[in-house]
Amino acid sequence: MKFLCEKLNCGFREKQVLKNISGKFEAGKITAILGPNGCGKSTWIRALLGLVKLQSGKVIGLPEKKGYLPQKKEIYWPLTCEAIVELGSRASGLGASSLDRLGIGHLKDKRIDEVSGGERTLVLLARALRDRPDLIIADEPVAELDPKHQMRVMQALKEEAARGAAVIVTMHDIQLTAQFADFVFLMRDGNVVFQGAPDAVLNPGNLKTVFGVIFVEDKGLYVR
Amino acid sequence: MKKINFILGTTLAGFFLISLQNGALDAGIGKLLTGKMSSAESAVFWHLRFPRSLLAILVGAALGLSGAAMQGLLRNPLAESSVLGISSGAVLGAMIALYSGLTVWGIWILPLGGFFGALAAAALVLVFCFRHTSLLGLILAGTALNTLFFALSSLLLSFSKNPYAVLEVIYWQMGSFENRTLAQTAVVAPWIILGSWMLLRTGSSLQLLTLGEDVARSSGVSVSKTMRQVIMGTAVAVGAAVSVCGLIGFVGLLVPHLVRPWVGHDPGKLLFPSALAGAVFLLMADTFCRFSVFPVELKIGVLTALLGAPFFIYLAFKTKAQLT
Repeated sequence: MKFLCEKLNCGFREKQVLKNISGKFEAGKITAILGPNGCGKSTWIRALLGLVKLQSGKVIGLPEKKGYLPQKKEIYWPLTCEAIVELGSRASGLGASSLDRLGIGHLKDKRIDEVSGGERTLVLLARALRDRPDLIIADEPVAELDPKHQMRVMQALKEEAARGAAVIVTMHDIQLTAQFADFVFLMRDGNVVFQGAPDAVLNPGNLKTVFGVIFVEDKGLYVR
Repeated sequence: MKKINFILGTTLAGFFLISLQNGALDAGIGKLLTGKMSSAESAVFWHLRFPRSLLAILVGAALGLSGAAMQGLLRNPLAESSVLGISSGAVLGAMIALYSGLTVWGIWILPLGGFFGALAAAALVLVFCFRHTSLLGLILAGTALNTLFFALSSLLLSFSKNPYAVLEVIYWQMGSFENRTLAQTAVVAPWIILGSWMLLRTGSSLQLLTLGEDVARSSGVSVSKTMRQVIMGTAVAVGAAVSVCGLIGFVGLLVPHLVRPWVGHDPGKLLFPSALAGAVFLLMADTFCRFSVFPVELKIGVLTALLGAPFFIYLAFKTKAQLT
């Protein structure tokens, strides 16, 4: 299974956010989207989900069962973690098992305002993964997380990809991307500038073009 | 969840019987059932006591339910029907009916003005949000309209040459169930039921809005449709309520907070218990009003505000800081 988007254009007032952007996403793989703040990463994945109005372009073959972890991790009412995972569920009792799968089953009866920021992200991820969707879209899932929680989230996404889901993430962490992604889009100013396997794409030359800063290869500190 | 509905339902039935049994005249339900009621007593029962209690239940349910739905939609614990200018729209509508002199045509004109005022206010709010379907825009537009409607009402009031008309409006604004007829109750009941039905149907959408508009939409919720349902449902139910009973403040704001300790914060599960609790609350408050004969009978709108405001302050300090 794969799905693609063709020549998406999207803009708000004068600013053109997506400029004729196209891409292909495959099942069983983690596709990472990287780029500077405001380059259009979030708008792109929101466009895939049909959450923004497109000026032109189309998304073809979008899977029906989708899980979405937004960038803004909003939770307005202090429900229990289990209740949050079960929001919008047609079947009952999936909350506890979904929390268990991410190793946070003990948080089941805790109120969401009593858990840490990292646990909060994991709870929302548990909701996104609840129905075993065919497509998982996570917008900056590891931003604001400590290394341990970063690994937990990325490993969970890797397991989902191994199960056969198409996983799309936006990232800022180059090392985690190199470690976990199967395919990388490097974006700048509403466009994809480079794409390919992480080894091929994530090199100092490309990164300097995209981010405008110099990356030194031999000082990497990888998380294992 | 089911248990709380049972408890509230039983309490409501109990209070309904108590309110029907007791009053200035010994014309209670006991006499009615045993057939010992004189025709005068029967008139008191059917034309004063019964419609009054029934109306208190209907209006209380409408206010409690719309408050819960509004708080769920706007994801704001301070929301109620007045936030979107629906109540003040009703006041303005009634004011226009009164000022234009149309009220001489019948006692129905004033309530009708109120009802259409509420609907017009809701329609205006929806027009404002037609292009920008964000919930923040909704609050801003509603707050602006609320202020505008009150200002226009005051303007009309200050132009009025008839001091009796002014007095009538002021009394109407205080809110009361006094001397409401069975016919009035029968006329507003279908609207309150229709509006409540519209509101109750939004439960699952309101639940998903807990996680923000994007997640709700990605889960298949139409935010703009939910918005329309809540606003129109509130306008129909509260508009009908306000049109016969005047402004009864604080019920919509307070009742969901009274229910949360038992039901939790889930905005969908809050709806039905809030309707029941609103009915219980207003029926109790009105029964108290009937027995409070200072120099004059206490107005229900005044009582709910007097009771509600201090209790709300207490709640606000007691409740732990909400999530952002």
